[in-house]
Amino acid sequence: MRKVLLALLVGIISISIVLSGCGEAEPEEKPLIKIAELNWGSARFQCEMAKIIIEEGYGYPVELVPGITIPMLQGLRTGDVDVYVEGWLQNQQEAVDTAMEAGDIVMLGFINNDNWQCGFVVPTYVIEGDTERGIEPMVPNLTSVFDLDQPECKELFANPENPSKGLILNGPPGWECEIVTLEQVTTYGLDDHYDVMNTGSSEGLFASLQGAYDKGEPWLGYLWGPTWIAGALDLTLLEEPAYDEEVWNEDHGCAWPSVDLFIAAHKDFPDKAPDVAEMFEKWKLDTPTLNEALAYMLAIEGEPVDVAIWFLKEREEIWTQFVPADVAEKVKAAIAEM
Amino acid sequence: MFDFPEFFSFPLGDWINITVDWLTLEWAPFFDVITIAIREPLVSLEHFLWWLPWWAVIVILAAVAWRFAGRRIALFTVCGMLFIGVMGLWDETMTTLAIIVTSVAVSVLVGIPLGILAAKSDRVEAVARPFLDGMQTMPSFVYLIPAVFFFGLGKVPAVVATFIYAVPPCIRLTNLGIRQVSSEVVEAGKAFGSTGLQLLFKIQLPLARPTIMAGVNQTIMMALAMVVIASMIGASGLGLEVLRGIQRLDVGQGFLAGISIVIVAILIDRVSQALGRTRETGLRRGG
Repeated sequence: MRKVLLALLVGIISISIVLSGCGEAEPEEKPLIKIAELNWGSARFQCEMAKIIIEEGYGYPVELVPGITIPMLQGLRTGDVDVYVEGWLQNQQEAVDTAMEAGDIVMLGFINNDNWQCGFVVPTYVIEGDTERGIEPMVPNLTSVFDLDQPECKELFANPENPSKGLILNGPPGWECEIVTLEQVTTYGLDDHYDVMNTGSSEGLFASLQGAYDKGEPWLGYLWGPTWIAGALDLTLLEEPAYDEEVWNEDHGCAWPSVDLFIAAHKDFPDKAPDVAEMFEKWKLDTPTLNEALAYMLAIEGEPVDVAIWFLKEREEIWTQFVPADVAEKVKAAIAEM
Repeated sequence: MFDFPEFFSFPLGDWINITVDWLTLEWAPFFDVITIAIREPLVSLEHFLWWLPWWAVIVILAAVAWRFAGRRIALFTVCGMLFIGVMGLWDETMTTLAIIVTSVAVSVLVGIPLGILAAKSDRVEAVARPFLDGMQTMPSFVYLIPAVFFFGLGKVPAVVATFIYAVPPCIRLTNLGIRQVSSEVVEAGKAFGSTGLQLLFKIQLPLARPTIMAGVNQTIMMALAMVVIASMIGASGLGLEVLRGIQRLDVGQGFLAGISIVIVAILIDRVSQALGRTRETGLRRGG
């Protein structure tokens, strides 16, 4: 009896081993590609889209490694991740330069450089009011950063911890924008009138803006785009002097320059997967396209992967330019099933 | 067959979102009152600590440490605080101190009465226990963002989040301390005709004091552990310096701020532990 049981057990185990082995057998083994999934909407959407195209079209397995900018860039240098999608060059200039000089990473291409709609932002109802929600215009004559020193503005954006001054919310600590914003506040002569508060994280900044927006309260702070919240809420960017390289280098007393969104790779990647590297070199998405994708993500309350599938289905004319025709066909066939 | 059937799912996440939206809009006046009640004392304390000359702060802290925890801790206090000053983190440390003191004060003010309540009633204890478990294990990021909706950015939501995380040991150990008071002592008290309040304040609480102080000590330590997390919603101070350091891969800056947090932690820990002990021995001597 015992022997029969034992034989049965051995039989079951061997069958299950054989069966599980079947699933893993691949005709040709391609190396795993690890993509750094940076933690904001537009980067995550592009990562998911790249994952689908690479897996379905090129046949490489792909792993997305979630993380934040600087640690991920470090991972790219050591080869823990292969590709880094949507870095903001001017925001990480020093770290990127160091890595390039050391020869650890290579620049694959630029997604675009027409965005960077960032600066000092208020909800539009602060200036124009919102008849639908019954909100009166609070400071109708606010148009540029130089209007902020008016007493009624200071009073409106008063710092609850120090009511004699106004409050400007700054970006997360450690970002280049945090330092630039601080300097701009001084250059524009606002430092006597306003305290600048560090919001700790982009989540904190967004939550504060969303909370104030829902309640129809005044809000003044730094914000950048493309970002889902800029697509979702009606916001107004306060005017600043136009970008001028000389002024910028001296005291940042002007609007931000446009920034280059780049895709970089570990130095060995072009040898490891030359066809995929070529795709990333052709990868171009302009800001309106990215904003559209982000707004769609918000509208369907979906995940980046949902947006990626939607984009692959609806915007064939854009992404098929990145890949050879046979790859495009494979991807199209695969997404038709999704 | 192996996947969980989808028709069992229901939109609990959506309901939570709707509830949070509703609370944000409809309960705004209520949260505003709490915000002011926390912010005003906190900001006054912070400004007071900034206003005090640095040497006065060190002298006061060292004196307190000497009185309750002895010479060695007093010496450590002086060296530690000087180190913080030399590292250029004095103002940040004062801010962190103000946040910690406020959080702990709120936790103790709410925690000890709740602990007493739980000790008096088995039902309250049974109901409270799963909530306390939840408060201690729920990842704090989950309630940080709603806290920003309700209380805005900055120190107030930080205090609230710290309170949620740090109040459970205070409640638990107050409850435990009172329940551990020997029933014979309580019987004796009753036999001498003491009222319920007399029983509580003259017998149970004094005898439970060491345990309660252990709870307060735990609360303080947990509040310090929340400092960095709370800085992610704009609470300034040492936590923000840590965050700034790690975001820029400036390990040195991160470590310095981290060491400062450790110094403050050791200081408060030793003093508050000693406070529990001296009260205990004092009671024995007196009794």
